[in-house]
Amino acid sequence: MRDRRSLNRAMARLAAGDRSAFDEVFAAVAPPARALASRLLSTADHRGADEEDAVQEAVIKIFARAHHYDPARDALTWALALVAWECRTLRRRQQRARSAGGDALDALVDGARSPEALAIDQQLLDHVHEALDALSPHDQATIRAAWSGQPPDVPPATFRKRLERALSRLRGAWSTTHGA
Amino acid sequence: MAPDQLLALRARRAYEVSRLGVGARMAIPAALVVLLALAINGPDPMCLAAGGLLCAIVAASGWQGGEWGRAALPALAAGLLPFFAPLSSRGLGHVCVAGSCVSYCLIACAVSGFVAGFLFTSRARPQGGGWLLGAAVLALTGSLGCAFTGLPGMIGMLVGGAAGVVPAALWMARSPSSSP
Repeated sequence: MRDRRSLNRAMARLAAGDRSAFDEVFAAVAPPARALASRLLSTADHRGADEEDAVQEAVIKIFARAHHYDPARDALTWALALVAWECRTLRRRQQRARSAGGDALDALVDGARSPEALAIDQQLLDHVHEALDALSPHDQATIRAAWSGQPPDVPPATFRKRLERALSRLRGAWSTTHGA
Repeated sequence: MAPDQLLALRARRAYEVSRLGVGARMAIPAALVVLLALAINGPDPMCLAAGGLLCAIVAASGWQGGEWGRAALPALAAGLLPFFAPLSSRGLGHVCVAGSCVSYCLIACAVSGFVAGFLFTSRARPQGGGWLLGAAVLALTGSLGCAFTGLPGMIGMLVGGAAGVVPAALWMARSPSSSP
C-alpha cells in the first residue's frame, strides 16, 4: 500500500512535468505493463519481433499520456487500463491487416489454374476458331458481333434469326469435325 | 543497449513529445490574445515582438510544467485586465490636477496593473520560478493593451502590477492557507 501511494505521488509529479519522477514511475509501472501487454498480444503465429514492438508501444503509451493522469486515481490501475486499451487497438489493427491480406491471397489462390487446365482451354479455343473458319463470312460476322456485344445494323428480330442459323451451322461444323 | 534501457529511452522520448503538445495547447489562448491585439493595434512591430515572446514563454512553461506551468495561464488571465482597461478608456481624454494632466488611459494602465498583480498573486499563489514567469506573462499581456499609450503607459502598468503584488504577497505570508 505504501508503494502504491508512493507510485501515485510520483505519477502525479510526472504528470505535472517533474522529470525526476520518471525513473521511479518507469521502474514501478513498466514490468507489470509489459507482462499484461505480452499476455494480451501473444498470438499463435509467434511473430516475435512484431509482438515485442506491440508490447513496447503499449508501455510507451503510458508515458505519452502521463500528462492526462488524474491524481485522484490509482496510478497502476490507470496505467494498466491504458495498456489494455492500447493492446485492444493493436489487436484490431493486426486483425484488419491480416484479413485484408488474406482476402487478396484467397482470390489469388482461387483464380489460379493448373498448367494442364490452361492447355486444355487453349486447345478448345483453337477448335472453336477452326469451326468458325469453316462457316461463311456472313455467319462468322454474325457470331462475332453477338459475342462482342456490338449493336446489330439490322432489326433485332432479324439479327436473332441470323444468329440462330449461324449457331446451328457452327454446331453442324463442330459435329462434323469432332463427332460431338 | 539493453532492451529495458531502450524501452525507457523510447518512453522518455514519448513523454517529452507529449509535453511539447501540452506547451503548444497552452500557447493557444496566448496566441488568441496576440491576434486580438494585432487586430486592434494593427501590425505594430512592438506588438508583434511582445506577442511572439508571450506565446513562446507560455509554450515553454507548458512544456516545462511544474511551477512555471501552474503560473502561466493565471498570469495570462490576470494580464487581460491591463490589456482591456486602457482600450476601453480610449477617447476619454485627460484629467488635470494642479496644472498637471494625465490621460485616463495611463491611469487605467496603472490601476489595472495593480489589480492584475494582486489577483495573480492571491489566486495563483506562485512558488519559486512561478513568480518570475508569472510576472513576465502578466507584463507582456498587459503591454499588448497598453502599447498604444506609449512608454508612460507601459511603465504605469508595470509599476501598478508590482504594487499589486505586494499586499497579496504580504497576506500570503501572514496566512499561507487562505486567500485574501
